Amino acid sequence: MGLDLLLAASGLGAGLFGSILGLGGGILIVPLLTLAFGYPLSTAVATSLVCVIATSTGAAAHNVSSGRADVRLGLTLENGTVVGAVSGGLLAGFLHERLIAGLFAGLMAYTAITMGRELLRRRAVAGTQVDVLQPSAPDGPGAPSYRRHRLPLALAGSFFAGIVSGLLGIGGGAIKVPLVHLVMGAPMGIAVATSNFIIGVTAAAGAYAYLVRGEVDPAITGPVVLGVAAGAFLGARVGPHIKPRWLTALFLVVVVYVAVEMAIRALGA
Amino acid sequence: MIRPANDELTRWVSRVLATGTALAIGVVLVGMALTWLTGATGAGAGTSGATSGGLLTQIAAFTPASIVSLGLLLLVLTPVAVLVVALVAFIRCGEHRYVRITSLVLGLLIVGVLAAGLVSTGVGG
Repeated sequence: MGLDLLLAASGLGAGLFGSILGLGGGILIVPLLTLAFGYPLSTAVATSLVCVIATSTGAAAHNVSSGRADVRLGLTLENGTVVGAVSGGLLAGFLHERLIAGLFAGLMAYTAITMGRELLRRRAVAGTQVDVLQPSAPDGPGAPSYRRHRLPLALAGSFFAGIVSGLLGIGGGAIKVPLVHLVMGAPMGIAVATSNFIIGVTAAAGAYAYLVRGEVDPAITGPVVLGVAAGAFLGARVGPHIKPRWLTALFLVVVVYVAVEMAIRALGA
Repeated sequence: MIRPANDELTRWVSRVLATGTALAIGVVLVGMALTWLTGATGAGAGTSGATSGGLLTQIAAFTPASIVSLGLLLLVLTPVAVLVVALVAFIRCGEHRYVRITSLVLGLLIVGVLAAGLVSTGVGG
């Protein structure tokens, strides 16, 4: 039972972190289960995929009912992702993993630079912080208007996210949050909540595949999922109170980490 | 683009998300509690609960671990239920563009789920 509690505590941290930043939490769960607990990578990946859904559904119930997650935008972008995932599966034999990892690293580096510049700009206009987490956003009166003309670019990004997630097993939230925030022009809080909502849909088919093949170990996944769900529940309530600038800064750290990880993978180190 | 904040879609989707998550987590919790109470196989026992027989074999065994697996299955199926409910809401509201968008996502997801089932039973190779 002691190990179960440790697994649940790890899940709690990953769920909290993931729901606050719009990520599935896999970038924490996989290293934790393999390095700290010593489980095989395949077990960690299967557990992580189920936990992405726990993070998503645990946080999204609150995010959708409070109006922060844009269901319509999320579903629209998901079209690109599922088509990309299917294409990635079909093209798996022709696409080099290192090439995709290199492109992904480049995209994350560009995202990091753009977000970094955004942070610096906001510092220059300190005192004019925009209240972007309005309870009625994004659908209510006074909701932010998106750059609708950039939807094709966002769909192309979602398509790439699908290919990347299929081939590299990463990329859901790390791509979707910047797409909604930087490309579509939605505030960071809405980008995080929308990403949180949709990553569960992206992960569902993959998680089901692992589950139905009996590759998800209930003895390990059970306690982690309980922790993740509790963390996501808390994160969805704490996240809106974090200033958008802090959210961006936290997300920037994740983006830099993913960029370095992918660059290492691309170089084959 | 501007719609009422608490429209039918939002209400239905958030209800299914909340209910699906609560039900799934509740079942996982019951399974974990039985594991602890009966001293059955748990992560602390240092053994793997995964089986080579697949999900249905796990659940049919009706052990604490199989109850956890049932909860995990309910969790994984929650996003599918969300898409179904969103599709119905879009149809009812006459939002044809989103009916097409959601249908495509749901269709591809169901194909993925069915393909996973076929592969697991050996039908698909």
